[in-house]
Amino acid sequence: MGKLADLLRFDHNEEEFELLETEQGEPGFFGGYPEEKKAKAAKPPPPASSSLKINESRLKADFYAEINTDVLFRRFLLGGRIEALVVCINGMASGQQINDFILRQGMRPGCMDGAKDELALYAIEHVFAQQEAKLSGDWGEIKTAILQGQSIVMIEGENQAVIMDTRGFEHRGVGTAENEKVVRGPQESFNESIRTNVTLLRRIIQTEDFVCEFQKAGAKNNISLVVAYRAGIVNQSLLDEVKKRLSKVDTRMIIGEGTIEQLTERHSIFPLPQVLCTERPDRTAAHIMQGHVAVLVEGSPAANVMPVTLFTLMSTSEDAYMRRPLGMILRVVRYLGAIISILLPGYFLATCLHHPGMLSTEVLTTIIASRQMVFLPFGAEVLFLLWVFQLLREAGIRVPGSAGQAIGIIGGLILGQAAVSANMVSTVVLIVVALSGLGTFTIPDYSTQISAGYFRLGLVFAAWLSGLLGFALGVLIIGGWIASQKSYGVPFLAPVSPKTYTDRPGILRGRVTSHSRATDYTNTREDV
Amino acid sequence: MNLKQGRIGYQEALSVVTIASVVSAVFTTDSEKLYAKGNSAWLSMLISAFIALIVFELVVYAMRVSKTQSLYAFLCYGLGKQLAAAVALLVSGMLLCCAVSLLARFTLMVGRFVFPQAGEKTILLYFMLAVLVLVYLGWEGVARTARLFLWLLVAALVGALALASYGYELHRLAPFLGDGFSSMLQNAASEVLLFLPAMVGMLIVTRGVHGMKTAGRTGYMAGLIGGIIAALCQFCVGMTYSYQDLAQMHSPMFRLTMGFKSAGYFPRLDTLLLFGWVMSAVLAACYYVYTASLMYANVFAQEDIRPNLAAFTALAGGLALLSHSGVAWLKAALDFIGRQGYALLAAPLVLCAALTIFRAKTADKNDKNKSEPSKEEEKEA
Amino acid sequence: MSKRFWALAFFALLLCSAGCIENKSPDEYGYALVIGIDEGEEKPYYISMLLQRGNGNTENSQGEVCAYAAVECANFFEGIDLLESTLPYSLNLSRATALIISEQAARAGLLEDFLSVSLSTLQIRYYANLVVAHSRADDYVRGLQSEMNPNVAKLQYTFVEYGEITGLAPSVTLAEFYDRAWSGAGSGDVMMPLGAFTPQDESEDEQQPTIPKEEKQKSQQQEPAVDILGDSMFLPGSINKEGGLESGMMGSAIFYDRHVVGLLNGPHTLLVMMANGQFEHGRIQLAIGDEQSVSVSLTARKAPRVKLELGEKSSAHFAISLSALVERPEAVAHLSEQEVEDYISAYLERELLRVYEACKQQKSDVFALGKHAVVQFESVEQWEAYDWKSAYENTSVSFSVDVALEYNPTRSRLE
Repeated sequence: MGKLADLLRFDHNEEEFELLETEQGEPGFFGGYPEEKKAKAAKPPPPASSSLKINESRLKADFYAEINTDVLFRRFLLGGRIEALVVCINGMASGQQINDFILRQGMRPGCMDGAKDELALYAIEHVFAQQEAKLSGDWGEIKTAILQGQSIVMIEGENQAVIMDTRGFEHRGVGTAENEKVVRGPQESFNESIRTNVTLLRRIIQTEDFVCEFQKAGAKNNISLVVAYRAGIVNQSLLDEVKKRLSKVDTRMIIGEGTIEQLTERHSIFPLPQVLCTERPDRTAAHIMQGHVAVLVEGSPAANVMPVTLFTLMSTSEDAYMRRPLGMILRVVRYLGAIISILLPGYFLATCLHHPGMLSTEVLTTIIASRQMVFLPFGAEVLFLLWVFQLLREAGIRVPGSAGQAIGIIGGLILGQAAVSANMVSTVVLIVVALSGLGTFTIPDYSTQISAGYFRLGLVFAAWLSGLLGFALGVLIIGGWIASQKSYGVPFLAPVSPKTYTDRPGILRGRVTSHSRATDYTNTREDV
Repeated sequence: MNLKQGRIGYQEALSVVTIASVVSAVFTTDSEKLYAKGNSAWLSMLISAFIALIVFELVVYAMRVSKTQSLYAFLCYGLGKQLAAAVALLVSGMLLCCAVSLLARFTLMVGRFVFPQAGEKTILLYFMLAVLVLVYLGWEGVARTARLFLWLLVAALVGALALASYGYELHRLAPFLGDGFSSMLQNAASEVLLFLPAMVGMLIVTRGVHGMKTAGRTGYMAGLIGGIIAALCQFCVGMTYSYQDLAQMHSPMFRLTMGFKSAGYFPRLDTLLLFGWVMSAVLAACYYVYTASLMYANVFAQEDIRPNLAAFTALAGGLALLSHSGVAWLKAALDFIGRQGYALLAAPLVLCAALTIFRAKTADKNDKNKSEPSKEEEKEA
Repeated sequence: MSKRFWALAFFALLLCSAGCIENKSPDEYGYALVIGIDEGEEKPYYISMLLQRGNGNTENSQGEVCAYAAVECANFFEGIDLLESTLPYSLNLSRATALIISEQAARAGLLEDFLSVSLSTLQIRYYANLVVAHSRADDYVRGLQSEMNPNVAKLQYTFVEYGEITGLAPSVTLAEFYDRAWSGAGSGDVMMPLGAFTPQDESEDEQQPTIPKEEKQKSQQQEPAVDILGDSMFLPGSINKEGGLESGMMGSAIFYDRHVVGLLNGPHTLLVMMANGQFEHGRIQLAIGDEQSVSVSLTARKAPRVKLELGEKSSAHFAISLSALVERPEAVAHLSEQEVEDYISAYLERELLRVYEACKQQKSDVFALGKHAVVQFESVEQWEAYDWKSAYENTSVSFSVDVALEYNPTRSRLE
């Protein structure tokens, strides 16, 4: 009986761990709990002490050294007589550099004989053979340096630590751009190391006014970011705006540039991206040379470039490397593809449902013949196929390796054909949706591709509701919405609307010789 | 301050004002009155545009001379605050009437030619939704959208005229002067209301177009282009249908494309072209609603234009719907505005301009007189 | 709740208030391609329609491309309602590219009644062609089907092009008819293409006919056509056709106001088109010298110039410029170029005058003199006070046809 009773009980299983339903109080109607009052801002920690023992114990406490075994504390005698301590994180710092240029150099007897008062400064100047070394007494800075893979040396009697760049963590090498492939042009792409990324930019922009400002990203995971620009030409108000938005970032975690993009954009509901996210250093450098500002984030193999316009999102770096006639053709095809992708399903639905008189007899009879046994309503058929297309697309991306390609082929050919044979969809609608889908892939920017899907869906609904009336008004509203948006103060459709000066057309490619002025809408300080 | 004005360039301003001017002149005419005594509309439109340009240039000159930077400031300068408020509200009302007539006419066209089974209310609500969303984007949004779609709208208009060109015959315009010069001039006078509001609207949003100079130039160009295009459209329409036919049609431009004779795709383009015009009408309505709201905000020194935008859009939609319901008082009011509206709008502006010029010239003279004795004193010294 | 949420909710509510505009899938419509109008026996109208069904690609496509439906009704709207109540789909008239009216109905003025309703509410396009059928319109409608091409709309366009290529049949759209028939005298009268129904011999084809035998006999019993000049030589003669397409063109029907008042055969139609500016290319057969029948291809060089003098006895002069190509030059090799041109000019001037007088007798201004009259008035008041129709009956005309021979028949072939 006891076992039976246990079997029939519906009590909460005590063994199961519960995390969510442990808060006190009544939840809100739509879920969640009222925001807890923010904790008062913590007082800044006291600076480093001149006592090595105190510093060591503080660091061990802060880094949970007893359980955090990858934080290394190495005591040594500086110059054979002065107690010193080097602290680093195993794996983040390069052991070889520490051994060769800190410990070996520091342990030489008599190396500190000339030092009088400022031991740390003397050590930097005479002992430690590291290219980057500085002094700091700020406890936060000291901890950050350790976390970033640098090494700190604390010396008995000194209330400043020597911070040296000994970063040597494993990272991916400079690879090829996976998502922005080009046939002609450089093949390098950014990687997760911010230093490497800055180096890649500096190899292209070899001007003295190219500035890379390192700063904290504003997250509790303490990663850094770089604001890169050309100080000689960038518009100061643009730079100030970028920095102002970055300074307001205060979040729990920043993993990549996407988080920064979302935290700094103004119009979060607008589908199109308000910065250009690129993994190509050449593209980033080209924009910096035009007066744009780029933001690189530690751990992210991409850069955010701002401001951006729709025409920037629709161009690729390959446009510049191809000759003008070829570049023009590519662009025209690209724009036509984008237009077809967004407009075709809605237009087709509007004419078929509401204005069949607009179709030629041949097309109309083909549609009628193909739809004879299809059970889905016309609008639902279009939506269904759009959804299937998105499914195939996502599946093709997520499925690893060569199976991803197979999914596309299987889905496209077999599933489509099977759906037609099973009278779920008609051939004409399948062709229309497939064309629309193909058109999406001509859009170079990934975020813009996804956005096109939103607009397409909106237009399909509008066309379903009210034919060409809804379609035309939908196009007008979308066009107006895009025209009214701005990216860091620059209208999204510049230089077309508003019409700004440009010596190269927005859609067609201009001549390379005429690319002598910076883009008008970035309002650079001088023509370079 | 949330007047949603922003700043736009010359091309955007010209686009939106030209669209408003052309769409009003081409599509909101009363065919019964216009073609009752022959078809001289192609001439009378040119004369109307010319008259509107004269009135506009007079006002711009007066504003320049008085150094006022907006229409409301100009009215205050010339007429005093109370009277200026009344005239400003009248101007605002006229702009709203332009929006109403556009919405009403296009609702009729779409309802009659495309969706005969749908009611006016349904169609009008779609228009209102679009107008509300677009006008909320502000002056920048409306103007930039107009610049973006300008090529499409030009193609829709020119395409219609080109498609129908096979059937143009000059004899259909005969008798060429309609019913004589006097009736032509009468028509021309009442048609001034098709051009003047769009141009005057530019003077309300001077701050949004970087000042009076651009506003003046833009309004002038819009009036000129609007007049030429409206005359061209009337000329083409007149060569396609005789005046007896035209007097029975409420939308001769749409009928222009309906008669195209061919085996290809072109005969079916009429609906597509219509929706090109629908887009331009919505943009023009947004322009009128925005300028009317801004004028109203100026009169009552409001800092937020958004309630005005919503209210004026709702008002325009409501009046457009009522106009289809055949409400007697509204019909009478619209008839009166159609006949005499040009005088209601132009007369106070001309009067204010005259007073302003006089006042400004007098003030200049006084200033000169004040400065002259000092010169004499200098000579003595 | 944020402002944004309420704003979106408001827009959604507004959209929901607007509602959907009623729509139907394209396969739920029956598309009327051709509409026929006859006089009914019990009710004023007998409306027939050819409805496009398939695209001819299905297995049993013969005879199934179009469906035929007909009904007697008091007016067109009633006819549509009756048809929709019996058919499994909604009628869509926006694809109607031809309106066929029987000659009998057109003479009785049925077309005027039919077209006086607002066709735009039915969404019949104004570029639909009008044809007068010298038979019952429903026979003609059914005779438009053909195995050669299931696309009836395309077939119908071909008839329109036929007129332009040969000059033997005009083309008139609904818009043009409204313009000329309803806008007063200032445009001239309408000349509509005349259709012929030539039923097939049933013994030849087991798969056809599309029309039952007894129905065909109704049309066959009609009198042979004779035009207003007394000629009975009509197109298309006795052309043997198989596989449908029993309908063809004969010439034209001339109107006075909105009634048919007479017929013209193809060659006479060509002459009228030459004079009123519709002519582009054509072919005539005439006697030149000793040869009884020489084929001459004609092309219009420019639009005809008309000089009309109004007065008590109005007079008009037509100046027509053509280029001619004698298609068998050896037949006239013995004549000089000038002589050949003179022969052709004289023939055309003679025939034009004959045709004009015959049309004038029927009061039909198919030569479009009305449009030359209206331009001479300075005001609408003067024009409306002038009785052009009466003046037309007393208007004498002269024609001068300037023919330029393209090929010189006196040269040898080697040259």
